Amino acid sequence: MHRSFVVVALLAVTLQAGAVHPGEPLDPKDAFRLSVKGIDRNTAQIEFRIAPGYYLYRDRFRFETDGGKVIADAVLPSGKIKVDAFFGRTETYRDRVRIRVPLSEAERAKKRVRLKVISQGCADAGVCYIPQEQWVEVQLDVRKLLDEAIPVGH
Amino acid sequence: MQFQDGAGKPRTLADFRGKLVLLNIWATWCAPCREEMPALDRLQAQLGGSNFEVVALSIDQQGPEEVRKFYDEIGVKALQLYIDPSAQASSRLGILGVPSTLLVDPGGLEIGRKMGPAKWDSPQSINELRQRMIRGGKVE
Repeated sequence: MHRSFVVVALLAVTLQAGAVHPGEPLDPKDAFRLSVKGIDRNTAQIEFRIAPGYYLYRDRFRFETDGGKVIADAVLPSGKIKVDAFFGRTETYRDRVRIRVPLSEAERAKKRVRLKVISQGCADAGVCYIPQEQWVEVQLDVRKLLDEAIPVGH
Repeated sequence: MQFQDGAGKPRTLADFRGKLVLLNIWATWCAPCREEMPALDRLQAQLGGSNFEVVALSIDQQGPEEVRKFYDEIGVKALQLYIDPSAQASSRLGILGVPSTLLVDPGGLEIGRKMGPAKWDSPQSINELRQRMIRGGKVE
């Protein structure tokens, strides 16, 4: 059991020295708010709303089906270039990112599709979150499905 | 809480009983962690011994080679290599982000924690740790 209420003098010293940023970082689920929707009969759209002062790495996303199959052809938009002293040129997302995840025929055959979303981000205050594994469930757009099945005017 | 040393030998925090321990949970994919590692190495060089140890515990899933490569890159001299590829330690300690650093008293009890980087080898930090070692890790 940890005693997080204990603010030791050591911490006070480092705060006084200006070595750290004040305030506790957000819980990752609050820093990176995930939602999903079906945008047509073939595609799920994953959206992250990213809190100010936080960012996600473009190259650390990974998507899997509930059968464990990696979805390699997700469409990630270009990110903002970040030049890091250790990692060189990386792409990051701030504010919001929408990612299109194409679904296979086998996935589309299901009424509801479950996807595993793996993401990793950091706070400008100098904390990086442990990669987040989250499950989302998406229903493909029924209205659009009907539109395609019964074209307008027929 | 189990982890491994650089030779793959199982280790636990109980192995450090009797010492004040600064347990730093980190990963090579975390830029702020990499940035503070030289300060932790200098802290271990200066204070490490029978009464104090910096335990830098990596949660890299790729294994110790990744950590060894980074240690070589920055010329680590005093820190030992410890790794928890299962991330069991971070999960059990309720750690959401890295770097996270815990101060553990010689009896194995956590007496403080901090998420985010710090200048661990600043004169103030070293002085504070020395005082704490004299008091046997007790919080006043």
